[in-house]
Order: sequence, then structure tokens, then C-alpha cells
Amino acid sequence: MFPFIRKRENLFLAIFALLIILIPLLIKNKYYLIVMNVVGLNTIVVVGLNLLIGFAGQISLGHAAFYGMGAYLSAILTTTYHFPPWPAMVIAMFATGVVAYFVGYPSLKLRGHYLVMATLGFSIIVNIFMVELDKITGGPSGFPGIPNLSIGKLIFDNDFKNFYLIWTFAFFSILVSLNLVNSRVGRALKAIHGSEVAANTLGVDTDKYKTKVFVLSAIFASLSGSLYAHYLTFISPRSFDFYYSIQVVTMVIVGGMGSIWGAFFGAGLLTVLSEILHVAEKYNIIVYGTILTLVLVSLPEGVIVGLYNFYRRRKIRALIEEG
Amino acid sequence: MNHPGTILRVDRLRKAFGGVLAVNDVSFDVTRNEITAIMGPNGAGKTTILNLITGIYPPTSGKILFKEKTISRLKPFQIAFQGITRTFQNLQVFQNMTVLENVMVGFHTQTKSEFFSCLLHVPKVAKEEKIVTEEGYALLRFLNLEAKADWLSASLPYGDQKRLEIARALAGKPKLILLDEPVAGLNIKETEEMSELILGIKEKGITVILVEHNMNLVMGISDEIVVLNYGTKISEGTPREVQMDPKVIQAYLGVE
Repeated sequence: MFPFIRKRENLFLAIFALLIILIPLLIKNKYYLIVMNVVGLNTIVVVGLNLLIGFAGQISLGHAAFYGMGAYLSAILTTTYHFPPWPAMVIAMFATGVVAYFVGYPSLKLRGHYLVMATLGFSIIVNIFMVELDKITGGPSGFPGIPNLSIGKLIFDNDFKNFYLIWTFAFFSILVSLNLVNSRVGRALKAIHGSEVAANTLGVDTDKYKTKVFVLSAIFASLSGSLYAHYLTFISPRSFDFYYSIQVVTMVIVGGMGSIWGAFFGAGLLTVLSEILHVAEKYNIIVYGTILTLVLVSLPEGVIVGLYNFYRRRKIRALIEEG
Repeated sequence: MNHPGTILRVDRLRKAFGGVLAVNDVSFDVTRNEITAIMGPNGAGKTTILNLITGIYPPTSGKILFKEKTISRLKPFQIAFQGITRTFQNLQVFQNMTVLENVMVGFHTQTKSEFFSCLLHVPKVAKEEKIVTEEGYALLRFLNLEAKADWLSASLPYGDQKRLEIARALAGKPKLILLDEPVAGLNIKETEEMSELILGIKEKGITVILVEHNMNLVMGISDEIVVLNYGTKISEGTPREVQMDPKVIQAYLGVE
């Protein structure tokens, strides 16, 4: 599971794991922990979405729906139907994956912006269901009383314990994504982004790969949604509206398309930023828009990838000058 | 007339785009381990034939047989698995990937790992990675690109990008490789190198179909030439035969 050939990435992962272990022991401020937990939840969504947008080059504006499906399915199954939470979470991921397949398959067969439109429309429909099916979902006032996750006697009922829970999942979503992108499948996805025709003539079943990575990214979002529901024990449709979809796409772009660590960075930066901007909530979207525009204009590859490529180009130029 | 040496048979192939007949009932055979050139003036339908062979377009009518099996209804990726790969006239290098990664994509048909095993990086995947990396470097060495393996392919000079496409196409261990204008835009020295390279590919036992405008190259290295004009085959034969054919002279130089 841990590919030992990639030394540098394993070093990053080790540092990352160490930070996850240490941070809650050092930071006692409850508010900071909550913010970091939200960063963790967003990281899972953004890392998955980056596989779709950054690697395969397909844009979705509907991941709030998959995030919300995970949350609501977990909530309904555990609270209304008294399912044990862990199996409910797996069922939610599976169901979200199936729905994503039926949304993605037809729209990914077409070239162009069909996926954007389909996912956008789909997420609006899902949000309407969350609001209108109030007998099942609790409607606009939300869904309370969701149980916490637990392992044996250990109940994840505070911010400290949930930090470890959420970040363990975030860690593994980063790990498996790194595995994926450095493999046959990951290269095929990047190739689709580069030139769909060429990828196809080299043996890549582009329709199949696009659909699969779309489903995979939806499952990541669903997982994160379930964790969110069990962590906060209360969910409402507002957390899964169109604005959330925009937020995660922005995180992918700011962090850097096609970089797993960039996705983590984007999630961290923009989650913290939107917390800071909480005082001026009305202007939140303006600031978001400005950041997105600035990044796209000055560092179109994203902050992390952009800086890395800048460094690499300089190195290559130096090599050429040396001869 | 089932010639045993035939690897690819194009049989009354036709492609219409709306009212325009881009390829009009063209038939020809490609002999195993030979270089077959398709030539003709601009708009003769050369690239369309390559797109039909590789499944990018479905034919309007007619058939393409590869090793006596009909491939004309297969999708491009399925045709790649049959052992046909190609390069593009307007380069289709994966600009978002390094030179080595580009070639590694070429190994797609030679490897098996799917989503689940890749996510978990099971030992089988690690083994495959190692082989593909090593063979990728070997191919880059063959094409003189090894020193630039870690470069982002977008930063390669034009000539290198052309060779990178060939490396990528060779990675799929094809039986038949289609080269669409491999020397267009190259200088004399690069053209000579490319001609050596194409002969080298033939020596590896790979059949080559070459679409090219450069007469010296076509006449110099082809075993067989098919000449098209306005979507119709007007001549066929060895370079000598084709050169003498009055119809070919007429197509290129006009009527006296």
C-alpha cells in the first residue's frame, strides 16, 4: 500500500502524518480545532474533485450534491432507521457512486461543457429535494440528532477526537490519490486532459475512465459528507447548496490543478480564509471571486503547481545555459 | 486474392462529410513489414484514411481488415489494443505531462492495472510501474530523448515533440504504425534523421504507413506507394512505377 519507490512523496506523507498526530496535542483552542476539522472535511472533497478536474480535465459544479447525499443518507439511515453508522456510511458511498454513474455516464460521453451543466442541474435538484422532502430530511430547518461515530467504546463526540477521525480519512484519501495519479490509470486520466483523441488512439477507453473518475470523486465527497453529519450531529440544506460546489472548485483551482498536495493546500487556505471573512459574510463571495480571478490571471496553474513549475523552468533554463 | 503477406486491407472504403466525398471507394493492401506511403495533393483524403483506420471516424461504407479481422467498427482504443498506433499531423503530445510520462501512457495496452489496484498500489502495480519506467527510458534512448525525460513535454522543441509522439506510439508495441507527416516542419538534417528512424522502425519488424508530402523521403524509403487525388486512388506501385505514372504527374503538375 505504501509505494516505497517514491521517496520524496513518502517523506511528505510522513511529515503530514506527524503533523496530524501532533497538532491536536499542541493546539488546545476549540475554535481552531473546529476550523481544522472543516479543513479536513474539505480536503477529502477537494482531493477527490481534483482527480476529476485537475487530472482528467472534466469540470463538475455539482459536488455539493454528492457531499450532501453522503450527509443526508448517513443521517437518515442512522437516525430514522437506526442503522449502525459505519455500514450506513458505506451504503451512502455506494448509493452516491451509483447516482454519480447515472449522472456522469451520459454527460461524459459528450464533449464540451455538458458535465458542468448536468452536474449543476443535478445539484440544484438534490438541494430542492433536501428542502422539500421535509418529512424525510427535516426540510429547511435541518436534520438534528445524528449519532456520533464510534469504534467499540471510543465515541467521537468532541472536536479533539473528531480531528483524529477526520484527518485519518483525509490522510488516506491523499495517500490513495497519490497512488492513483502515479499509476497507469492516473497517467491515462492526465492524457485525457492533454488530448482526448491521442489518449484514445493509445488504448485508453476515455469514456470509461472519465465516468470512473467522476464516480470516484463523488464517493470521496460522500465519505466527507457522512463524516460531517456524524461530527456535527446536525445538517441542513444550506451546507450543500450551489455555493459549496463553487467553493470546492475554487479550492481545486487555487491549490493547483493536477496536484494532490495542492488540493490540500487549496482546501486549507480557502477554508481558513472564509473563516476569517466570516465577520463580513455578505462580502465573502466577492473576496472568493477576486481570489479566483487573481490566481487565474497571475498563476493559472494554481498557487502550488504554479510556483513549482516556475522553479522547475528556472532549473531547466539554468541547465541549458550551462550547456 | 488473399495474399499471405497482407497485414492491412482497405476495401472499397468511403467517407462522406455531408455532401463531400473525402474518401471515395479506396482499396489497397499493406504488406507486412513494409513501408507503405500514402501521398497526394492537399485535400486528397490522406489523413482521413488514417482517421478511418484508427477508428476516429466510422466509415460511410467499405471495410478495413487488420490481420484478416474487420476493425472498421471498432473504437480507437480497441484498435490500439489490436496493435495499431499512430502519430498526428498537428501534434497531440500530452503537454501537461513530462516526456517520460507521455511515453508511459503509450504502454497502456501493454499493462493491466485498473482503478482499484492502482488506488491501493498493490504489489502487481509496483512491478508494472518498474517495468514501464525502464522500458520508457529505453524507448527515449532509442529516440534520443533520454536526457529530457523529466521535461514538461510542452517545453520541448518541435522536432523533439515529433519524435516523442513516435516514441509514445512505439510503446504500445504495435504491429502497424501510422505516421502522419513525420517530417513536416523539420529541417534537412532532422528530415534525414527521421528517415533513418523510420527505417529503424521497419527493421524492428513493424509495418509502417506513412502520409507525407516530402517526395525525397517518400521515394527514398517507401516500398509501396498509394497515390490519392480528390479522395480517389489514382495510382499504386513501387516508387519507380508511381513516378512514371502519367496520372500522378498530371495530378501534381496539372494537364499540359
